[in-house]
Amino acid sequence: MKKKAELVRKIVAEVLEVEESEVFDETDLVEELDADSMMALEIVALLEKELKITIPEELLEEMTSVNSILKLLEDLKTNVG
Amino acid sequence: MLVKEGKKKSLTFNEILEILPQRYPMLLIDRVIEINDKEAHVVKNVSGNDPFFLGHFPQQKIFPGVLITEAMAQASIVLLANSNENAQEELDELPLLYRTNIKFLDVVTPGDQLLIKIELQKKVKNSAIVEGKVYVKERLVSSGILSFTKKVFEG
Repeated sequence: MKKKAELVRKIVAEVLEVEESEVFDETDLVEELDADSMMALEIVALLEKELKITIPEELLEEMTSVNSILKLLEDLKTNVG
Repeated sequence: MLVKEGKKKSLTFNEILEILPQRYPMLLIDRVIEINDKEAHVVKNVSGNDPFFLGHFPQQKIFPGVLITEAMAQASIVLLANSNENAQEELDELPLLYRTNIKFLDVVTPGDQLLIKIELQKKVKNSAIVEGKVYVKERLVSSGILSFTKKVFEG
């Protein structure tokens, strides 16, 4: 879980072109870091590649912070399992 | 849509013209040798007669990196059109580049044949991400990621 949090933070920082130190668990990616819908898609594509999962398109809007992404990943895992 | 109807596995230059809005001198792919919902293999023949070689460069002809990027983008548009279920949308919408992250690993010169391999990574309603690799014979000359967002153009 901790490793996954680090991966999410790394991917978010990479796509949004910010330092990893600027991305906290509850940082609002849209309000505070100017993320747009294309960036959300890029984050999803990288997560899918790294974690070998598929994230449904409807969930894009819920990805507003590192914590919400982690929760979403956990929910996906539960649904599959 | 042409590609849809018979589920074509390859496309001629004339068939590419029906999909792409680009025209001379900005049409940068010649033939689709293999295509399905996820991947496209596209060929571009580089000729010393191409107009951009006049200035790039007068003393040494080098195929511009931005045009390799454009060729990858055009190959991607053909792939996206082929993997689109809604035929009507294709006519009104054009995928435009949002971001590219591309490495140029070797120079391309007149006489080279580019083999552009595009693989769909992620596609949602209004945008898509693809991975592109460009080969000259067995040599990888360029590779990277292109993201597109669809824009509707009216009239």
